[in-house]
Amino acid sequence: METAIDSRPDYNRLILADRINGRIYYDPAVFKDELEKIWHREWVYVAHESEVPEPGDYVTRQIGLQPVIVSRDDAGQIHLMLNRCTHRGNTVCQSMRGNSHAFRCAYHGWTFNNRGDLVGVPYAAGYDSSFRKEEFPLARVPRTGSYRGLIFASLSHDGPALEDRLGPARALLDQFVDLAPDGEIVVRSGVLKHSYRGNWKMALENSVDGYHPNILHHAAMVMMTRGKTDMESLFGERSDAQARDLGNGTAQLDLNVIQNRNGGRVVPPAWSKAANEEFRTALARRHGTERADQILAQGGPHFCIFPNLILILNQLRVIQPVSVDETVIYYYPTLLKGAPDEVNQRRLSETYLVHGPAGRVAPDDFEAYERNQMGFEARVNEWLLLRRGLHREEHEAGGSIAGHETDETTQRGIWHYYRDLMTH
Amino acid sequence: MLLTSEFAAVEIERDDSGNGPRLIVRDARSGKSILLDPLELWALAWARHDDLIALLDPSRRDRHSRNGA
Repeated sequence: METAIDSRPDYNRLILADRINGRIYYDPAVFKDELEKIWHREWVYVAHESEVPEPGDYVTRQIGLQPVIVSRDDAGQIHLMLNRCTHRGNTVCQSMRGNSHAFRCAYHGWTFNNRGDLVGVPYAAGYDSSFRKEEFPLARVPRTGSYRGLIFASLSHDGPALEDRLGPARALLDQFVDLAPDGEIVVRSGVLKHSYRGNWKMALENSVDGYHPNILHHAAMVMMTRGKTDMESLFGERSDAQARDLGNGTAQLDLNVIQNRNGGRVVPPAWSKAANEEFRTALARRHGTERADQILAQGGPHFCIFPNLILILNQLRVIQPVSVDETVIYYYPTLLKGAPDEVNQRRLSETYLVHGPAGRVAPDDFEAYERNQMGFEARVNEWLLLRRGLHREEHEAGGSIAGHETDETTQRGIWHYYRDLMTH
Repeated sequence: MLLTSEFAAVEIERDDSGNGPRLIVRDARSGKSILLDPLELWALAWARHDDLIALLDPSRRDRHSRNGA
């Protein structure tokens, strides 16, 4: 055995340059460390501003395992509060979304306005004169920030600013959002919620793994390209796309060269020429024709931001850990404000056709994660290889590392960032 | 639905534009409206008429107009 489960995890020994140890996916002690050093400390994606468009709107989320409420008050201000009554600790909101100017705890009726102030305490005479409601608001999430409408939060009072943390991911977020002629995406078209019996990190790594699509998803890819495309040129040895580690836990499958050949998509546009022209005209109104054509040719990016946000072409995925071997992943279709209905309809249907419960792609991934987790029970040799393409990757100006699309450059980037966080 | 008396004319309507249903209550003469969520409506259901008396003062209308509310 390479490792002993009864010893403290040593992350410098579990994560090497060309391999990682399976213990990192199944040891409850590792999960506990991750909650402390990653989920309850680092910047984590929480919600999109368009999910609470109206005064009184709220959604409930988790940062790591900690329940939070995201609400919008009458002044349009967004608030992130811990979903925990300051009386006895109950969650005060249970629904995933709703509209209410006040949150009333079901247990003893303590009531908070949607800014978190305690505004009502039943049978108040039972409290002495020193009791002041002002001292018992819902706890606020220490740090919040947003970029292009995406709300991030950190449960730590200290740490890098969001802009610094996002770093090079900002350009990719811009690429994702700039497709919207009005400059905003809208995340209000429902969500696909999947759970799998496996560790959360597998979904993050898989999101930027360019080695598996033409193997695991081969049948789906042939169907989606109607059998007319050379699959090896999309996800195989003949592809000229790249896998890139941008640092800070941001990793990208850079499919721009493929998308530039296909009108901004991995496979050519499925909407009509009329809709495409309308789309182009709308973008040109905001950016001018040259930039509009560039945006359309480039299409959406394909990348992840550690630890829980994945943006792929037209959809937004959020990873929610439950335990060391259970994870929930949310797939949100995103619509482009100002784009033709036909384009947005296509974005919506692609999400449910490809990633729904009977979708062409996502169920295969979940099966792979669960087989992974089962495989980790075999512990004679616990190492997983990460060496693919290590010999042929390039260090680029600006600090990023680029490999061939099918190389594990992206996963190595994620693991190196992970190791840095876990050892500090 | 329009409800009128010699003192007021009010339209009420269900609204589903937010993350949960609300009731629009609109002063038909000025167009001024409020969106009430279910908990606020619950509070009205349990209110006594005396609890609403302070809200009937017409000078509130001018005050709220000035505040843009």
